[in-house]
Amino acid sequence: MMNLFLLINREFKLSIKNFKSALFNIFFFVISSFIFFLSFGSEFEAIIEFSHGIIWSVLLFSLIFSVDQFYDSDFKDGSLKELKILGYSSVEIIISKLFTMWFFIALPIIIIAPLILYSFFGVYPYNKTLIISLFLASPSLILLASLGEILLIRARKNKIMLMLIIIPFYIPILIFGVSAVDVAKLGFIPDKNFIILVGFFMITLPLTLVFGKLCIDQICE
Amino acid sequence: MVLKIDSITLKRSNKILFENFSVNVNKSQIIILTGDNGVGKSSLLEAISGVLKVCEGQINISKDIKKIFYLGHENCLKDELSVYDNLRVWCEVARKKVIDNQIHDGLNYFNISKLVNQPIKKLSQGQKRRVALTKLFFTDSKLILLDEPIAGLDKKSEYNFSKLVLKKKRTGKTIILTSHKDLGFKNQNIVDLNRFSKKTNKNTKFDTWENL
Repeated sequence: MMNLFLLINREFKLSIKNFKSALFNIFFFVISSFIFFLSFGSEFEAIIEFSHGIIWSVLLFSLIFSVDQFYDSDFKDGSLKELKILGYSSVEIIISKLFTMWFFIALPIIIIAPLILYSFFGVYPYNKTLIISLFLASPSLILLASLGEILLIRARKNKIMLMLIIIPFYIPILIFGVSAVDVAKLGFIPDKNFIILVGFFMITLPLTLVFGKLCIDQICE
Repeated sequence: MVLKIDSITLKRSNKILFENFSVNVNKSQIIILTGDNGVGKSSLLEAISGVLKVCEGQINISKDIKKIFYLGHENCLKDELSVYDNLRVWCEVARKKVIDNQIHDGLNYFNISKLVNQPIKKLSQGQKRRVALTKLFFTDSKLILLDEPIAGLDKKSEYNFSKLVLKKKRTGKTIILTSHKDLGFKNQNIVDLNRFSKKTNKNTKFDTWENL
């Protein structure tokens, strides 16, 4: 537990010192969301209809594009190997990075998303459902993005090809996350969607830890 | 005995680097691993550190040794962080309680105290290596593994590094390092890995500068 605390402390310090990346990520999310919304022109009904889907899609892209900074630099400068030799397990390294990624990438977006919607629609009626679904699904998205990144660390040339293999795994989470708001729009409580999103987390967590551990052990050799 | 390497065979990318290699290392010894490029010096250090698995044989490390200090080819420094922040973060992860004055002393030893607030990305290769070697100043590990530690260092820094290694040796630490240069330690033990290598063709006559 102490190891995990030390690693999370390290990751937090590195992320705070490298705060520009986190800011860029938020900037990317805000600008992309606005561009999507503005592309609908004056069709206000259509914007309301698709707004949560847009927020979800942009969140997904923000996560995919920003996770590489967490593994790539540690691999390139030898820190990954150094941490292993200092006695930290691969699982501890992965968990510390997952938590930091969620805190610095997903959490700001979960906070900002309702503000973006507010700036367009005033009080967005399905804010609560959207926030809960983002909150429940973002760890699974981070886990998948993280697994993809670990698998791709060494693959310099085939990065796009391998990325295409990982992307389909995001789709079910995206579908159930977006449909949670749709269910709320119909006047039902989307509790089943929430349970499924938690279920995805239960599946992706052990998968990422097991395969991530194997990959990191292989990378350090 | 600090380390006992017993008839090991090392592979990298399915190619055997060397086989049947054995060596015993005692306390306060300086072992210098030499050999041609690609002969397996770095791989041997990684195998001792535990990140690379041996195919055959065994590496036994004394139970007294809880931690190993390892400095590889890479400096393990974050480009965007300052020299001070890099060392501070490393000390925390390595569970070393180090006060600011100790960090300044370490940097002063390698004549880089003026760079304390500079981001790593602004330093030259030699300066980065000196920052990485400063970590050696803080470690209390009984087994120290250094891979090409003097690569990119100037003469003065090489001398300072050699002095630091001797100081570590006097305090009971065992140092195993790879180098292509003679560091001129007294009572150093040189292990030539070419003798065990599968790559080196022993019948080939190599040209020397004298023959050219």
